[in-house]
Amino acid sequence: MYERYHIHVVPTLGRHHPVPKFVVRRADNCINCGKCERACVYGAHKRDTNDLRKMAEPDSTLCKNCFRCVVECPQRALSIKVNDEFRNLGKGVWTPVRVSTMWNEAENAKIPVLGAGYRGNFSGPGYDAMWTDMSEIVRPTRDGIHGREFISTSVDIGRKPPLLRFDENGSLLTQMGPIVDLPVPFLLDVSRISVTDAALKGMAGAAKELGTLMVLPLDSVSKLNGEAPAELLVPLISSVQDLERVPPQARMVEISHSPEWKNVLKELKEKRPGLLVSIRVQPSKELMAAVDDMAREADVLHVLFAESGMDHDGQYARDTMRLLHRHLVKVGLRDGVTVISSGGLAAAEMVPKSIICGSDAVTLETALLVALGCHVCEKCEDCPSDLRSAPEEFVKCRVTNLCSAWRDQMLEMLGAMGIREVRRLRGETGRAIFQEDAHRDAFSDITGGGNVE
Amino acid sequence: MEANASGEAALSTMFNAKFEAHRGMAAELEAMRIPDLRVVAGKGEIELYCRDQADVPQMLKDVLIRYVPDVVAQPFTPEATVAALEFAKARGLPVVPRGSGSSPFGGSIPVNGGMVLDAGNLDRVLSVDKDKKLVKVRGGCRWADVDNAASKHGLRLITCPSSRFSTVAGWICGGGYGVGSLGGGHLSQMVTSAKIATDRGVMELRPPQEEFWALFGSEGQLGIVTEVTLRVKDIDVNSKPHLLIFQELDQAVEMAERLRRMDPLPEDLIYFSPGKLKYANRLLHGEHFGQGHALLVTSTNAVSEKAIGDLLRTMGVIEEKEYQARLLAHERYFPMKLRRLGPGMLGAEVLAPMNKLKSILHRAEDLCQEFALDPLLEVHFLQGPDSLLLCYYLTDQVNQSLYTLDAAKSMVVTSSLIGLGARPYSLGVWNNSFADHWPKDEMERLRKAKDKLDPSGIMNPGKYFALKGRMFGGAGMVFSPLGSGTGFRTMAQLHAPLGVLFRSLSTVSSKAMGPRKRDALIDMANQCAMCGACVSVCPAYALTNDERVTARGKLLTAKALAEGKEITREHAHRTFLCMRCKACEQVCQSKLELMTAYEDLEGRLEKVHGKDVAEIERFVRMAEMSPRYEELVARGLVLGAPKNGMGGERDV
Repeated sequence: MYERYHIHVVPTLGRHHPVPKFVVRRADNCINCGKCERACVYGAHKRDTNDLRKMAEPDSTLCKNCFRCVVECPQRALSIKVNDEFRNLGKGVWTPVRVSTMWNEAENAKIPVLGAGYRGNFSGPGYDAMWTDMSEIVRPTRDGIHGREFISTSVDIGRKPPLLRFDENGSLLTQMGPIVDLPVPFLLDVSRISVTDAALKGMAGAAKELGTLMVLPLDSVSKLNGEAPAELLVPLISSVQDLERVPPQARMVEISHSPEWKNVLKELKEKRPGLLVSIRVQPSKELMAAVDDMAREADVLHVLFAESGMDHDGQYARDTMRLLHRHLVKVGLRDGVTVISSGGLAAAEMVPKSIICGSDAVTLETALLVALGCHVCEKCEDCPSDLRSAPEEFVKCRVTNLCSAWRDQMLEMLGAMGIREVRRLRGETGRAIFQEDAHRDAFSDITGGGNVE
Repeated sequence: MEANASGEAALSTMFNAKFEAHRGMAAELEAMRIPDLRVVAGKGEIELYCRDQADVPQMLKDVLIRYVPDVVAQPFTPEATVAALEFAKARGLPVVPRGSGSSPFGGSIPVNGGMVLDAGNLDRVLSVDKDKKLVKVRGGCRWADVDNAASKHGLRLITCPSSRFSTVAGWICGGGYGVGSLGGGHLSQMVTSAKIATDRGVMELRPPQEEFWALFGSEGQLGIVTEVTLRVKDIDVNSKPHLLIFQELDQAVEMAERLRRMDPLPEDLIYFSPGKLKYANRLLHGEHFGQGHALLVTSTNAVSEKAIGDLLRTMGVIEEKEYQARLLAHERYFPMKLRRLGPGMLGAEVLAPMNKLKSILHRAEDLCQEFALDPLLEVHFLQGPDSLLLCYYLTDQVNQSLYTLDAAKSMVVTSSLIGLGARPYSLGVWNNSFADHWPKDEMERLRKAKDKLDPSGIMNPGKYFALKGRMFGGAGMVFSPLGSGTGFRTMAQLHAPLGVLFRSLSTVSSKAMGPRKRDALIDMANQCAMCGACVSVCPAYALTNDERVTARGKLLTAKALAEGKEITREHAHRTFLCMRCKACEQVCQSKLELMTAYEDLEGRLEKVHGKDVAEIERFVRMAEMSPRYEELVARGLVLGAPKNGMGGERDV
């Protein structure tokens, strides 16, 4: 029987006090009249349960910044301001709103609704400087995302032949390489983040729930004690000898780009022909020169960007990936290889945006930590969320929830674009507007308006 | 809001706290079910009506007078007032009128039991006539409320008493001289008409009726003042206070002589002795004022402002900085906060003739020195031949023997000042012995008015004309002109040996008989100025009409508890009926930290009687839904207080 892909989610509260976006303050001249309690529909104001004559401190985490209490307070004792702690959350593309949104997604697996109008910028660095087509947005409010026609989010990882050959009987002549079919276009990747054993197990559990792959250092494989299905693990190996420690069920391994990559790849393929080999590359100008060979021979190119979303030359993934994609298309190699992009993916919409720019799939890294409550403050030795003590089950649920919310948002976007499967989105730049293009279209006819960067 | 035609709060909107049964006469009055009349039932609540601003030494009270009333009635309308008076007449009960209970001379203390009529709930401002500059108010209206209502129309009071939380009727009956009296004249010149409730109905008095003039300073002898029409004036931004400091008393008095003869008259002129400045510095926590004899003169308008400026220039007098003047001008309204330093204060208030002022002031200084007192003297200059001299000094109310001794000194000081030609300002109970110094024509006028308005003689009997108390009128002997009056006069003449005696007794008392361990809560109860400001702003009082829920009531509860008196369960639980609005703390002139005191008191009461959480919740929820409370909150509990957070974070 056909079974629709479904991610099972369990709402999971954060382990630490959330950082509210707004702080409600009650000044000393409060007369405990209780008007705020009646004014607040979110329940941020309550009387003190120990002494009903007094108002308790406002629960800022419930505040939605509607200002009703501020307006109705006869003493003008209440004030609301943006929380400084909130403002200082995250770093770079990991903005405070994104971090807190991801916390919510990991908590309840729901699509975030940022109500009361969008007051942010309409453009920004990297993926923020592109907008996707949403012209088909007609029915989701009535049917919800699961009500409309089926939209596929699965992608195939592995080499694809440029064409299929058949004999006169109609049998396939072409030798098909190994292919891994993922139900979602993202993999989990813990090779560039630091996780505890419990978190590792939890994330493996989440990978199992999602049915996706998890990239991990080879040493970590043994830490899982075989608890996770080995076919989902993608160990990062450095030599052919390491292959002995790779579980036989594993379907894919990663190697780092090195001058000897060709030999390593060849030996690996000889020893384990059914194994996908992914080459991790740091994007740079030199790479662009050497990429053709890799694209011709490797199964997967795993392009690593920094958590800032940029490559070594300070170019954003948006532009690097577009250049790479266009280049591979031009030389006729793009369809053969699978390209996975990593780094700086700080919001759900960045997954389809990355695919539009030319990746087949992406990996989630820091996003996995944020799902656990990470502040992206880079003070890991004194973690405000104490990630080191996060239990396995918590990690599994939070990561699953986040991924489910991100997939739902991808469905929402695909639906709005009128696209029924995510593979159609790869390199589909016609489905997006890039800021510099829009700028040029609008201003190039105006004197002095053409030189837009 | 449920209100009757004249805007008074109806009794039906009150919170039903635990039932307390009425006893004796109170039960009879309650059984009559008079509309808009609350009959006080609880023992603890009745006890609040046994005293006024001053803490009378227990010994004096127990022996001399029957100070516990038989019944306490709170009318909300003039009609209910008349009904209560009819009841009193039918039962032959003496009626003692009470406003906010902020006078220290015992005017509202019963001396023979009877009925205390709490007129403090006849407290609404009825109308403001902007064109005629008239304000019509109920008798129990607080002066602060009158001023606030007038200010919305660009108007302000011409004169007001130093306690802005005293009632209009109370000042009419008790004094009439206060802030602004030099420019504005006596209170009687401000009032255009008054209505008083008697046992035969409400009647209106206006000039030139003799009864109208007799009403002022009548000490509640004529009836209950239910409605007053007052003249007010435009707010003038040019009016400013000026502070002058002199090294010699005589210089200050001579300057005052000039200032009070100016044309136009300054609005207000007060002399403060060096003691006052010293205490003001202590109370305001800083060296705001220098040393010397101060004159605080306030101009009336631009013309008067210029005239004062010119006079100061020609005299070569250099005035202090404006902020100092304004600070001290503000302090005029809070004379009783001095109690905080004692805890407790005592004093004498007399009207002194201007031509003898210098000698009287010197005499007062000398006398206080002989009695080892560190007094502050204030002279409020008035139109006419007299000025109002106030002499206050600190005492320790916690130490009963010292306090009794200090109270006796107050009598001697008053008596000495009278010997020098002054006359008592307000009589009440304690100054009754000086009644023979009251002007004869005024007494005669009052006697005639009383015969006409109160022929049955139920109003405040046993005071003013004749004081009767316990022990076959023994109190009368002590406080009568012939009794103690003579005694005190004799004592005043023997001041030199008396001084030695008082000094040595005081030393013994403060050393040997003082309390072993001081209790912060009890100290605070004694620091309380008992001015009743908290009563007028308390939302819990507005919802219960029970003074035990107010700061003043709670501090007295704390005192009663410390004295080992029995506190009933009902009384204890009333103490918890509070909205924690801090209006009392904000309005408190002594700046007492009441919230901590409440926690302390509630803790002590909870140990004995527990805490009725359900009743507290019912009370809070009822208040939240109450239109009366809504109205108070919307208006602002403390009138004129800034309505914003001012950046202050709340301490939880």
